[in-house]
Amino acid sequence: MVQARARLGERVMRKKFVLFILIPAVIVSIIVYLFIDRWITSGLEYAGEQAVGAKVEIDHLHVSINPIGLEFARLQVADPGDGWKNMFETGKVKFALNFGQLLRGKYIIETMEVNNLILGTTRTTDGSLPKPITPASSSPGLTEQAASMINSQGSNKAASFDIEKIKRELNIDSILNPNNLATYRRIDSLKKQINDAGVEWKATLDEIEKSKSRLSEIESKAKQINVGAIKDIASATNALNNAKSILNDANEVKTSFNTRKSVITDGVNKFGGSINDLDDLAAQDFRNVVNMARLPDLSMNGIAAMVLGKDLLRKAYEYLGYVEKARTTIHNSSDKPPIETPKRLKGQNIYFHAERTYPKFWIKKILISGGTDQTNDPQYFYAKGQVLNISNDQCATGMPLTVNLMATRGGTTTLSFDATFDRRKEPAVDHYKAELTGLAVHEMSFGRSDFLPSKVTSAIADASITAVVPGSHFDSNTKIIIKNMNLSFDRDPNGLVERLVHDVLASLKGFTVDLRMWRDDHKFDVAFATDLDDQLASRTRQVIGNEVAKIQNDLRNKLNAKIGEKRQEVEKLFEEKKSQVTGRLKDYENLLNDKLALVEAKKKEVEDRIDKEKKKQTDDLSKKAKDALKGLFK
Amino acid sequence: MFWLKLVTNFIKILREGQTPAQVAGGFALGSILGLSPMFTLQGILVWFVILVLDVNLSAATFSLGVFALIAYIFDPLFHRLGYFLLANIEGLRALWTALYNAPLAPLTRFNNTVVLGSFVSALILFTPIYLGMKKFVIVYRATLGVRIRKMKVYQIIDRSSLVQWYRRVRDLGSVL
Repeated sequence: MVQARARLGERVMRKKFVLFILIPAVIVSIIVYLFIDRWITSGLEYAGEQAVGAKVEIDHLHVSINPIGLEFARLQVADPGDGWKNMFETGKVKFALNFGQLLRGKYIIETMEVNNLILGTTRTTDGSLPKPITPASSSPGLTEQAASMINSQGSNKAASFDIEKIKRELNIDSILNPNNLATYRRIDSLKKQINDAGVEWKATLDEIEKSKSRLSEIESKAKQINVGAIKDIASATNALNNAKSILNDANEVKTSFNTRKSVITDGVNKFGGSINDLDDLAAQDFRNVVNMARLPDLSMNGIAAMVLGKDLLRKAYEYLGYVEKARTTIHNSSDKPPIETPKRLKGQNIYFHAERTYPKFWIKKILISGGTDQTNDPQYFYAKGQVLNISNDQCATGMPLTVNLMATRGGTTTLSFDATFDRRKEPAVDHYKAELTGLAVHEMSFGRSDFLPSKVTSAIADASITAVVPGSHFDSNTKIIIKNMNLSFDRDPNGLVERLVHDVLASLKGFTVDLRMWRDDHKFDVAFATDLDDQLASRTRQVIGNEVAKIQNDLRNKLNAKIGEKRQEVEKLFEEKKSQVTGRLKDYENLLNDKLALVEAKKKEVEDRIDKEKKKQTDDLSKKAKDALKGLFK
Repeated sequence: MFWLKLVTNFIKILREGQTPAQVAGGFALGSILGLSPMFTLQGILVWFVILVLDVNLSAATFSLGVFALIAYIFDPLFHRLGYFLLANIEGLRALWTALYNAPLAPLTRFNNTVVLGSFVSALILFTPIYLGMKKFVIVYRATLGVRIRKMKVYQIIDRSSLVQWYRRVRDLGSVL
């Protein structure tokens, strides 16, 4: 029995199978030991490059077994916008992985320390990568919308401030061309509609006219009822039924008339309302005409946008790129993702999260610190902060990704940056808050190429920024305070207004700007407010405001005259049709009421006759009864 | 040359050497490795089983190559099957969740549609492949092999310069 079992074992199991396992296992172990550092370095660099879009380099990575973890001497992440600069680089980084969770295929890191973090260092090699071909998105992102806004602003011709030139070039006849006036088009359309309605009204009135014969018939029937011929109750009842029947006929005619009348009256009222609405359209036409005349915008927005130039906006829009990237890059896993079409042999991963379990990937805390050498660099830079809860599933961790950073430069500039990226529920919400103080501004362009080109040569800026990004919406408020400002003008001022602005700016030492950028559904918008506006606008208004107002009044009067003339045509037509219709309606209504009154009077007469007859019979009866009683008691 | 040697060895073992069960066992286990991705916990386990059990290694390796090609062709089918099992069957959801959060089980990468779809397919096909291969070896050894060797095509290939050259190279060591 034992021998048989042994034989069976020999047949099933490989002889010296241990060698078959041991030798490959040892070989694999040696290979893994020799190459694992290189494999992990390549893997991390590749993943980083896919995420950032620029070169990611890790130096001297080493995998430790006990505790299982990683450390590397330096991490460089190139700037995707400038390949010769690093977005940041770090010193030594070391962290340990939770072994228990690693057995579950999860990468959980309690604390990662990133020391000697330096931003914007220069690279010795180009760190840019070929741009991947991305499919065109159906809805434009924040940056695309912002860029199109800058371009559209740039393509708008600047309003001229030369009043004499404006007067010379202003061609009112061309501007007041009927093709440019919506009121004109509306009046033509109304005229056609009124004429069409007039035809319909006439047909309706003709129908009403046809019922006149029925009214005559009603009248003759009513007259045929001879109240004097009623001798008894039976004939009275017949006469009353006849009168009621005639009255029903008359009421039927009246109901039909009222229905037709209300249709015509509604139409008349509708056209009356449309003619009144022409005032609003005329006001809109005036605004369009003023725009076409390219009169200077004396509101603060126009001047502020011109003086502050595009630099400030462009800088703000650049940061929108980062906000957009964060919004689209940080996403959450879904319980049941829709089926994808992955590459061959790659498949699609489906995640199964349960309560109080770890996500696939979670760095609980990253401590960051670093800067330049304080002893050798008077403008030394130092930053520290922490990033909390980087994970692939915030629903599992229950924590949003949080970033808190503090930085100083040269002991004068300070920056604090706080952000949260909440993906725990829909819609995802991102919050940003940044405070910057004492930033030295060495060069910032002012004005425009066609309006007082100038630049700030030195200034100190403080800024406070808050932004909320719920889903695809966006709302940010920025307050910038410029102090100790020195301006240099690229050329001497041309014209009156440039001279005014030049004088105002030359005497300024600072100003504040409130900038709001927001997006509701699909519309991106920007609003400026600055105390610079008040000074500039008041000075500008003083000088050119009256002239501009005069031109505007002239335009308004000519437009009103032109529209008034056209309006008279439609009003005349409307009144004509209205009076025709209402006159005929009134005549018929009077006729109808007369006939109705006649029938009702006849009915009343019959009813009175019946009452009288009833009373007479009752009296006769009581008299007979009394006589009978008298006979009894005699 | 490796593939040529592999095919030659495979034809050789069809004729003689190990039992039909050993050949069929190696072939069926190799089919699991070929159909599903190898770098998973279950892939290592199947390798372990192949090395421990006295099954034919050439058959396993040959089968791995053949079924890897089949797996490439049928990948979309495996993906759909895997997605169906993972996402569409509510009754299995608790099992997947428990496995996903258990130690070691996630290392099997069962939550990947292609891994699960191909592995389930391989398990379903294991028995038919084993029985079919066993029967084939028996028939081949009894009658089919002789008939094939008598076929003109076989003889042409057998006498071809490439095969003659291969044989000379192969037997070089033994002659010396």
